[in-house]
Amino acid sequence: MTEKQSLRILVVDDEKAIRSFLKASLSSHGYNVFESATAEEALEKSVSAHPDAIILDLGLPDMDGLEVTKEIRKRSKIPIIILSVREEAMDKVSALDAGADDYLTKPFSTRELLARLRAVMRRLLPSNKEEVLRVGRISIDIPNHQVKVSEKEADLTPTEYDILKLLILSAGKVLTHRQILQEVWNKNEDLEGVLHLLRVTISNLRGKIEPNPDRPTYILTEPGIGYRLRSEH
Amino acid sequence: MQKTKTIRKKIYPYLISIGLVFIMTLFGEFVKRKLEPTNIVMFYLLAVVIAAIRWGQGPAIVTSILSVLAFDFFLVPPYLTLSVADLEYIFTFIAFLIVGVIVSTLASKTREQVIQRQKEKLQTALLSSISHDLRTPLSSVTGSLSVLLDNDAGLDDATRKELLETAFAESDRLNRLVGNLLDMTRMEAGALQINRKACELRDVLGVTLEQLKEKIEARNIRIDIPKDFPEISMDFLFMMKVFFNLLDNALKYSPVHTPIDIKATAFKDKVRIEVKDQGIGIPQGDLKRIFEKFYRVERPQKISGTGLGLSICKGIIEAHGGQITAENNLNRGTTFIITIPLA
Repeated sequence: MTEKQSLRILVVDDEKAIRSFLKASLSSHGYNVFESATAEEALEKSVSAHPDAIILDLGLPDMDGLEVTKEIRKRSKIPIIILSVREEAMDKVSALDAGADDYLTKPFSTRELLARLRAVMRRLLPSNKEEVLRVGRISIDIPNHQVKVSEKEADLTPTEYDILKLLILSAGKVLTHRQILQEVWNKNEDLEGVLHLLRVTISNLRGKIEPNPDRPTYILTEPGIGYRLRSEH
Repeated sequence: MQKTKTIRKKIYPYLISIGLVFIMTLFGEFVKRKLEPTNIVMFYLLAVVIAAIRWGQGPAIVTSILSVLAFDFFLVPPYLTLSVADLEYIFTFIAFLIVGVIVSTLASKTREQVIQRQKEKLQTALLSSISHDLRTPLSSVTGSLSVLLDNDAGLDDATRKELLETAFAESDRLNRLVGNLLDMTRMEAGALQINRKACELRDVLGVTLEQLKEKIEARNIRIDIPKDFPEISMDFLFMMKVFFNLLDNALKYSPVHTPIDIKATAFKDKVRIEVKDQGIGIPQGDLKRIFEKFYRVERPQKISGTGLGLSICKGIIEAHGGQITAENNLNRGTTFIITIPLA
């Protein structure tokens, strides 16, 4: 809790109304909020204000948020969450590929934003590989390569296990097709058939861990982008 | 099917024009002993004016030319030949043609003006309908928030929460409406970009149902997709919109205790997906019209909606080369049937 209170968030949006309600909401959850209305100011404050995470609008007056993301990524791994009215899968994928950690489409609920923020911040905590991770009714024992669903052992193939582990390690955060294929198969998404392979594996995995595979509540599909493991049940 | 229909629609006026000339000629045969041929011309002129007003310039000019030929052949001596005994008739023909063209131009211009005026009327109606639809949720939002701002102290917690929930739900509705209008505009401008990729129907439905989570909590939604159902090349996001709209309608127009069935069947060259409810059904005469934009079935009980959802569904499905139809079930409710060609 004490750590959370000291977390510093830089909010970058040219709309004053958006900045002020984000400030109100984030402050009330114990975050320390800084604001910028332009890309130039954001780039400067991303260094001078020492933020722990950045919430970034794409449609800035002086420079596109995508460029800002790339600029920041050149020197820092600080979590970036994009907030934008652009809802095309293409826009989301290019922002995520440019190094953003997550993407929220406006209008959004602050509850959703806070959940995403917690998910990307979790990534910063030192990950202990010697532990049992839990999400809802699923637990994964990393040292023993063991997955349990409602305390019953689930029989996963090695690939299914790798995907589930990857998803759980970044629980709550979106993973693009590219990222999953790279991590699990070490393959590029442009390769023919690999996306099909990914879809089939996800579908089988859902069959083993979801209460109702027709209505997944753990492994969520992000249309045209990738998958996300819901971290809060 | 659609093509032959439009061709028939185009040819039809010309056929009628030929018929008109035929009738005038018959009439001329009947009165040619009593009337001067130059007077009979007046009847042909009538045919030209009718053609111009009803169908525009093309059929009117065809009528003029046919009239001159028929007049010459049947009603100007020597009969049953195109040659003329009296050279004066050449002037009659030329004058008739000129008058025919002028009259048809004028008449078709009037016709275009009438059509233009109807279009403008329709646009005004659309605009007022849209602004009404936009203002309704907006006024709920403004209303709820202004109550909270004005007498915050006098409200108990439950009321305050209710007002906030209303404002939130209505702004969500407003957002959806704006999205629909945007899709509609894109569709009309031919700018709907369908990005087809192989996807699993099960997955598309899963995400859609997740979006409708709150509304379907108390409902029984049964999904029947065969294990070997193929992946379909389609736009994931747009197909979500289709199923969202169909399911939203099914939920809206059927009682809570009735199930909603989604059934998929694969054929050699296409897939068929049905969304079936056991609700209030659709009057037989409206089954086609419900896909027209802004069309809404008139019902005694007011159920809110804009008449955009189904026309967007139709636009999306057709952009996939498929079809969407609605039929009433034998017992009760409606089934929406989508077919999409494979590859």
